Amino acid sequence: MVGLGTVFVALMALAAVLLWRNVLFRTRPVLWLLMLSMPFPYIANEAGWVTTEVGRQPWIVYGLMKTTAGASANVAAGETIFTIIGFCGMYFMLGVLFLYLTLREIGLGPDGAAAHGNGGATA
Amino acid sequence: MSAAAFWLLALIITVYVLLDGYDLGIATITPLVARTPSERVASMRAIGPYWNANEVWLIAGGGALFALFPKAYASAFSGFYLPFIVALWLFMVRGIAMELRDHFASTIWRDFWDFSFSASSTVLILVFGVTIGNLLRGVPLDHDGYFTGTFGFLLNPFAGLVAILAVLALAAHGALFLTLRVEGPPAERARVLVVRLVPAIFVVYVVLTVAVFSTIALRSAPAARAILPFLAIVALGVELFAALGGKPWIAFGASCAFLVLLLFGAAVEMYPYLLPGFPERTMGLSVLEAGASPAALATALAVSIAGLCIVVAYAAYAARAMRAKISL
Repeated sequence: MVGLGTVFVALMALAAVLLWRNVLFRTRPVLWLLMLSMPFPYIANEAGWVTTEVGRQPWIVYGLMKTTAGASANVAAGETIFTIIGFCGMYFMLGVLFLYLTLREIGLGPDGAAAHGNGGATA
Repeated sequence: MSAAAFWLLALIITVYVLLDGYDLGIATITPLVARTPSERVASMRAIGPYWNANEVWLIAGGGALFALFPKAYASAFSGFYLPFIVALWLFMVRGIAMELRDHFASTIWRDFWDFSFSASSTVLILVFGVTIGNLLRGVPLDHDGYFTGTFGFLLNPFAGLVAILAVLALAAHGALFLTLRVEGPPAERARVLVVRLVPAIFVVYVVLTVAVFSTIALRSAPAARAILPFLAIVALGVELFAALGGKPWIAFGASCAFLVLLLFGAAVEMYPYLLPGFPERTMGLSVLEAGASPAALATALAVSIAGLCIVVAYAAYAARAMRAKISL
């Protein structure tokens, strides 16, 4: 998370300098780097969540309540499994839709997105 | 202090039903009143600027329950685990359908999103209706105030009746909001739909009131029991005649009044219990048992009220900025 954050700062600083010099849109290697770094903010976000959730164990409220004491006594294991499967299915579907729409926007390119009329440049 | 907290919570839930009620209701009636693609777009655009902000009131209700009555929050969220997760999924489907619909050109996808939008919203109203029905009827709780029943216990005929009333009343509420926001054929169809819905609401309301009076050990003052149903029926009458006479603002106001009377009646019967027990309501979780410490209550009350003022200011701004009617 921290490593990726540092990479983002460096990459954005490089891109900002190039943009200021008005050569960003002609520097193909940097544009490739920017496009390929698309997944990394998501990985950094998830890594951050894992750090807080795993790092806090065995506490659910740090220093006050253990996770075992916080578990619902009257929610059956089967109900939990059912909802975990449901959330996995829901987010899998969302993930597929997200990839499809993002790849379509990339495929259209900056001109295509503008012509398409759904604000690809600002979204 | 705990009484003030109870009524603040009841107020938040009532405002949620009035506001998100028309979002959900419009979604329910869209297949009935919007026939062409552009009419369906207009129907969705009628709630476009508002639905997201309206759902804030539900989140505020959950947050206020957590801050004001932590024991009731713990009991409700673990006792109603499955229904609440299903409601969450329905909210997700509804939001996704509205956000993604316009990103697909294919009519099959659009029909799919439109169906998801209407179906998820209608089932959400049913889930809320079942929840309120069970809150009114009472649920089995153990000595620590935790729900001990099963998912099947929640699906009883009384709760089903409340759910049917909720779908009909919010469908009419949404239809009236549509007539206020959209011009053209869908608005006229929505008005006709209200005229047909109100008699059905009246019948279900009377049956439900008889069921409440005959099966639930009532706690409210006899005067309230006589006045509230009378006022509710007056509100329904005003809603019907205003819809017939083409006065949508008065009809929408009457619909708001009807919903407020329904929820106020339920809250009056529940107080001082947040979760009445079953079969004896006295075995329930009362505001005193479930309440946070006085200092926490005072802080939470002050913060909630300040936060809600900001939400009201935003909602007023949005309503003003978006007041122009949508034409097809």
